[in-house]
Amino acid sequence: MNLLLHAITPLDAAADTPLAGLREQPLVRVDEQGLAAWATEFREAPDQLTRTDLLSHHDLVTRLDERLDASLPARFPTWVADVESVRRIIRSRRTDLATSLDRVRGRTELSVTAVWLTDDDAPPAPGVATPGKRYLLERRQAFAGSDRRRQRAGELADEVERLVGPEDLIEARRQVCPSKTVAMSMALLVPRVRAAEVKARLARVEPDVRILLNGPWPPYSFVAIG
Amino acid sequence: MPDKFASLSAPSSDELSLLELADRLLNRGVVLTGEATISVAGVDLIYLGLNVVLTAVENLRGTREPAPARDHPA
Repeated sequence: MNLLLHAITPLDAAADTPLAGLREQPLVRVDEQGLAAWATEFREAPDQLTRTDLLSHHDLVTRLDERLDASLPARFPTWVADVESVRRIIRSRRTDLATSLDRVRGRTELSVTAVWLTDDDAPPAPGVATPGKRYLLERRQAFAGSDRRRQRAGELADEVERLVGPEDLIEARRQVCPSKTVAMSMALLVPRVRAAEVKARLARVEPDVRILLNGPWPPYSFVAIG
Repeated sequence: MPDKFASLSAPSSDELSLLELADRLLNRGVVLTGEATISVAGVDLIYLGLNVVLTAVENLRGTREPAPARDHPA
């Protein structure tokens, strides 16, 4: 396997895009049925990829996405044996790939994450003498706190969608309370030309969570193909 | 009162941004072959997902502002 795949893009606009691959290796473009696959060609596949490779892949996909107005980033790392294998993959999934490209064309991904500022651990109730009663009370408090947090996290996600607004929000993915410390994590697909404005609209302070905004990024979260 | 809002647009300059980004690079994106035969040195832990974001947030606080004791994970 010597081709490290970066992205699938439309072919029409792909001509004459001078970019280098990872580790100064050649970047090859494989054209097939109106689509283009972009990959770094390694003479010999490296034993191990690094954080630098990961970020270089992101930089490359970002430039392709910006230049071509649509891209399907490949999950990292995706290795393909040779050019003919890439062609075969495109041929076999051409309709799905083209449909996905249409969905993300001219659009970009923003990330919104809310992190709780405090723990949710309620202190044991005073005056509860026996260990059994204390345990049961703590469990009940924990469940109640968990429900409160889920509700609050859901409200935060709803508020984000409301602030983005129906005209700019093409699609959203949300995870509510994915871990003890993360209230919610969202990926928003928005028009590329509106991304900066949307991001500014989401910048705000909340009393109980820290809001973190990232992007615009290539539409990593919106290119799933079944 | 510490600033509770952070807007991070430069992944390479911020650990939290890197982790958010890495979560997408490693966990999302189109899957075409189902094969991932080579690991990524130094970012394997990131694959654990959003739980790791907490670590980055704490690192971020550590470098930008003194965090109250209650903000640290148990």
